[in-house]
Amino acid sequence: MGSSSVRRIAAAGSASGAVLVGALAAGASPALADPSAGAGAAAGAPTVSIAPKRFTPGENVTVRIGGCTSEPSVGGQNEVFVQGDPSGFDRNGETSWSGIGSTLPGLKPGNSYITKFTCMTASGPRTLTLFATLPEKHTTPPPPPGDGHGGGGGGGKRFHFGFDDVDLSTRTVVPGGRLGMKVHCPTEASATSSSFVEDPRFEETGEDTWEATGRFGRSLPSVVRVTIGCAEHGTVVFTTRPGRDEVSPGPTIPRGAPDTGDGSTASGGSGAVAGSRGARAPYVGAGAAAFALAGTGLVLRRRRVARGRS
Amino acid sequence: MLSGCGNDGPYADGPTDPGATKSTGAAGTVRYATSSLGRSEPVTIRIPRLGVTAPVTDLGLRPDGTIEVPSLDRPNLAGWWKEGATPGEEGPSVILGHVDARGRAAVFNRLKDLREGDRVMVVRKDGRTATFAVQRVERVAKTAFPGERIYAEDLDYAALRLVTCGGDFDRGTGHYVDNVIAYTRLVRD
Repeated sequence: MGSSSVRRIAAAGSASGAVLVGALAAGASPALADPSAGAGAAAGAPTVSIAPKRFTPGENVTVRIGGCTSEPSVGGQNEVFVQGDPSGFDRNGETSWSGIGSTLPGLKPGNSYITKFTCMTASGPRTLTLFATLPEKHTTPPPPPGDGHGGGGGGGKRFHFGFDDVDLSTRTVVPGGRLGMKVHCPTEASATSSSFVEDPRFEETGEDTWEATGRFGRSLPSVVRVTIGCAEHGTVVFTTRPGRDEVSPGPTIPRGAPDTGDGSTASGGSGAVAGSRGARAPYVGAGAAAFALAGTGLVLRRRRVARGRS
Repeated sequence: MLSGCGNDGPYADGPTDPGATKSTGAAGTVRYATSSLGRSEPVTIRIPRLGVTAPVTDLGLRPDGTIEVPSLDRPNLAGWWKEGATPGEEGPSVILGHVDARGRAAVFNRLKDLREGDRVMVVRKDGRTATFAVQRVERVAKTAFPGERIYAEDLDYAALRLVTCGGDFDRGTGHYVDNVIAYTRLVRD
């Protein structure tokens, strides 16, 4: 696993508004698929992506949605675009749509955002989730236009592993079900979850492309968490609640530390100790351990910052 | 049988896991549960070592993204992080309590006094009691609070984390500078 730490968006440092070499994630997971199917098996399932993938916050981007029989619309949660955008979609094919949206100028590097779209599909109303992850900061020149990902180390480009590098075969996790994962990674992909029966084994199926299928146990907790990693390039974390048609980036984690006390029994002024009379108690532990998790956000409300991405 | 471990939840029927048995000195042998409970919200928490019996409310997020805390006007009220696992359910569940409030010692005032093997019992809405054994207690600077681990560690067993404040009280900020965290794990009879 990578060695990234996480923090909440509200605690993010200033973005500086400099040239943001943003890699907006477009890898919304394909919707419902046969749990036994592997990655990429959800052909025809609704998809959402944007172009260009690298943009400067505030710029217009094109949202492309496939698999919808009715015109898509922003569905409730919109953290990527200014209010009201994309205002409409043009039909480009039987189920293909495109619309232009103006991204929020305040999007910060290192943060992840979500916008949800709703539409009617052949199998009923669906919600599509656009994951947007911007690298914390760029340290290399911007890649040439049209290059959605960093390369595998060639040409001086740096690879930024993010949600857009992962495609999941399903957004609905069920006990005993399977999860296909297709990962774009120039090194080696991995996936872990305490809810997997065993860690899936990835096979390289193409250039910088890895695929594996994870199998869930017959008993699942109310929040299932899957960490997908790209060796030397970090990890992303997906969470979902079993049976629900939604996968979100990262678990919900409150910002900062809880303030549970008003100091009213602490003697003296600053420096007084409540309960332990000053000296560090012997139970001081290694609580500051950094976590080997890069991830973002939370279901519906919060985004966290994924740091440590290369 | 160990003191404070008198419930008979269904997880007590799981298979014996030799690796899940641990001697904890004064507190005796701990046998960790090998299965977990379904989701059910906590109602009360009891910690015999500390003489604590307290109701539990649920806690969400404030608009600024920090976690809510129980009212200072109810020093004996503990709070459960409702976005996480419920006590007894697989994964980390989290219960907060004040160390002091309104001039009085509050529900988790002596949390730092817990020792490995001490029991924590949580009664749930489904009527079952989830019993946990303390694994360790630590004090960490608030600036280094391990939120990822506390709220979202990827565990294949049921855990409960108890959190309060500790260390110095900084009158400049009006906050304690540390947190005290007790890590516990579901046990079986």
